Amino acid sequence: MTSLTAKLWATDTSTLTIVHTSLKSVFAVFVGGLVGSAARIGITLVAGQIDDYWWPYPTLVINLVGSFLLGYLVARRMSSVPAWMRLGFTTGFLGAFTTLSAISLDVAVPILRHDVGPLIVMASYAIGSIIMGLVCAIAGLRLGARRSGAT
Amino acid sequence: MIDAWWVLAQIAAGGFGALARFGVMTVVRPGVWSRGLFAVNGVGSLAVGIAAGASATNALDWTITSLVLAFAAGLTTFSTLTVTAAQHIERREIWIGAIMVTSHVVGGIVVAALGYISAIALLGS
Repeated sequence: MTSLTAKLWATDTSTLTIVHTSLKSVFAVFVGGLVGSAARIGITLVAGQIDDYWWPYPTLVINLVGSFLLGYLVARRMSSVPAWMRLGFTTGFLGAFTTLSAISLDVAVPILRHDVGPLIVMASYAIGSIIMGLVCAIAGLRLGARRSGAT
Repeated sequence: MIDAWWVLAQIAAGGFGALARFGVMTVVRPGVWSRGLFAVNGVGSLAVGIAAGASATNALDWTITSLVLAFAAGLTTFSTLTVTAAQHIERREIWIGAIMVTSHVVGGIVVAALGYISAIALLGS
């Protein structure tokens, strides 16, 4: 009986720990998502104030910086940092900082409106996002792996 | 003049989008093709297409449209896509990486266009 009670207590404790950790992770992802969205919106608004841009280069810059940083952090592993904090920064902040839906809409609308000029620019933007995004992610992964090896 | 409440609402929508992405990617097991990532990027792109189409027909208020766009921006992600594809490329699985990133971007454009056309067809008259 004692062993059963001990077993139940152990199960409850571990379940509570998992739930507690999960709630922490959920909260971290939400807060990270808020900050990531704020950073993306802030950069886009500031770029709009400085320059009346006609192609969405702020989104391209945001996506490239985010790809590099995520690649770097994934390769670094950061095992000394708590999992919920890593999740908050990677899935929350960097996930919300970068975006794919903006690219989808920016390219789809000129196609549907048969605007050839903007379409060429936006198609180049989409292809450039793919190639440069991969290059930045690979650069981040390699730099992170090198730093991990050094420490 | 930028309305501070409008900006805060957009930020909150982005935060909820990130939370929804986390939920979907936790529930859907990744596998080789990262199906959860494909789902969030596809749904987010479809949502912005529908919202933009509905807004073009004046069926949807611009405030609601901008909130949908902000939610979808938080829901979809580019960095997870490029890093996942880059990891495949680094493991010499070049075709998997290339197909993955291209299918997300091209698929996103296609579903956004479909959402836009559908919204105009359904709400335009």
